[in-house]
Amino acid sequence: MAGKDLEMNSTLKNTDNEVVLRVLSEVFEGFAFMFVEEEPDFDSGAPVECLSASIRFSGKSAAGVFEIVSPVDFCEELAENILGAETDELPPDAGEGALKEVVNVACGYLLSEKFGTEEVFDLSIPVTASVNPNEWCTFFEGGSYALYLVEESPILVRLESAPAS
Amino acid sequence: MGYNVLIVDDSPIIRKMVAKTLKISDLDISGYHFAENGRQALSVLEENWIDIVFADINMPEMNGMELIEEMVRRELMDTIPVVIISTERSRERIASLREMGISAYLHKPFVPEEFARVVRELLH
Repeated sequence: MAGKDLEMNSTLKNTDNEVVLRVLSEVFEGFAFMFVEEEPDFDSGAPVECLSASIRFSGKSAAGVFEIVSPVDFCEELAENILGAETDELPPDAGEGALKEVVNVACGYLLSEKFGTEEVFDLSIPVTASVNPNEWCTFFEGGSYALYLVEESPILVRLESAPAS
Repeated sequence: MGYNVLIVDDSPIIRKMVAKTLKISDLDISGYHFAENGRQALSVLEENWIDIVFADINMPEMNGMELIEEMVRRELMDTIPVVIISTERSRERIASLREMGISAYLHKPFVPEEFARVVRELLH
């Protein structure tokens, strides 16, 4: 998904990791009253069905991609919490929409935390893709994603950036 | 008679969330209109009396900044208050939006109480 010139980081960089945890905490709590923990060693096996939402960013100093991969049932729970609604009251694709919105908001927030509010970034429209258990394991073991728990549900998070060309 | 609002965001979740926040905020809203992007929003504005617009920036087809530019050019639309609700945090871009004439700017995720306060100030 990422360009080959992008820098790949396992647990993100330590400094990025702190920023990502802070931003994810604020976004999940602010949007959905859900709490985030960092659990790099947590391994409950791959969720059956997952969804990835990613967004690209580009600015004067850097460009890259931000992605969250989560179980599909977590996306539905996220939508329920954001809207304060029961599953049967949710619009179609609400879970997917909720994950896309969290990625969108978290990315904007992350960029200002990482690069400051003086820099202007253009963000793409978030895109989603299905992720199967094998891919989840590859992501988890590959070192490009950091693992967090949101209300005990695992999510994989990837932030890649490179100096803008 | 209540106010007519237009909520412009490509995310159905956010459109619902904004509408829900308005519904619980004790504001006298009589009509809810929705659009997925700036182009759809202009169509709604051409056909309906709208008292206030809530718009995202990052949307496909026509984004929030292009929507505001178009509204400023058009008589009757140029005085409608626009509240931007966005992930954007760049000072430069927010300053540009203010120069373009937006009435208020709220970061996502917004706090419902702050949202209601801003809207109340604009509508009263």
